[in-house]
Amino acid sequence: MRLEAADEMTLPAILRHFENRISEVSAALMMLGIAALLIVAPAAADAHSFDLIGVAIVDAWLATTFIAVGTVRIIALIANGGWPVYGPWMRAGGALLGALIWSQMCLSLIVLGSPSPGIPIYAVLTASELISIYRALAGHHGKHQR
Amino acid sequence: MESINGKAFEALGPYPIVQAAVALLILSIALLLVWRASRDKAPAREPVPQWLMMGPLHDMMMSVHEVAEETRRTNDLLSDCKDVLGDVLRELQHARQTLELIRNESRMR
Repeated sequence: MRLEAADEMTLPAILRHFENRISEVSAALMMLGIAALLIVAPAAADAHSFDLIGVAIVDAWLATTFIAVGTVRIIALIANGGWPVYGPWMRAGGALLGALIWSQMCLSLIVLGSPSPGIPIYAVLTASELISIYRALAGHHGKHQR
Repeated sequence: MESINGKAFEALGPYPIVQAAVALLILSIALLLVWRASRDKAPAREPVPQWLMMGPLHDMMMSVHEVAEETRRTNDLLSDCKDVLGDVLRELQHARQTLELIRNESRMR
């Protein structure tokens, strides 16, 4: 399903295009938002939730990583259906990276930080990303994307 | 050498095993879901959902079917009427010819 030229920027048209993939769009936008925050305020990288990610990604590359993953996911979701072979795998790969990132942020808050409302949020995001992997790949065969 | 190893382990942070365990758990679940997704087929989307065929729409379709049946019967009856009227016409023509013959006979006398 592609965005129609006549109603491409209306809210109903956008919701119709993304259908039940709106959770993936939200996760991708969260990543882009975190990247914007890290660019505007680099001190945000000192937050406890980023402590364990720092083992794999240095602070200087944190924003770049979030931008890259978020952008790839958004592109795959916008082009959904247009790339029947690579689109679902791009969505699944983005969801896997998302699950790894959110789980490490959740773990950071659990083991390093004080009790935070971010713990259940990141846990649910991790579970949601794992479900998105299944949803992106289940029976896509180029036609039946979910 | 030991100092390099020490620095490397320090760079990993205090919870490398926990981190690796969580990452492996996530990867394992992801692999399981990819395998499961490759087996499952998405249900084909029907152009018209079945529930739409219930209720008033179903009644309407039944009515259309009955109207079509009645129309077929009417067509049969009209066809029979046409045959009968054809017979009547032939009879009338025959009667007219007979009357004309009678009239001609009576004039000749």
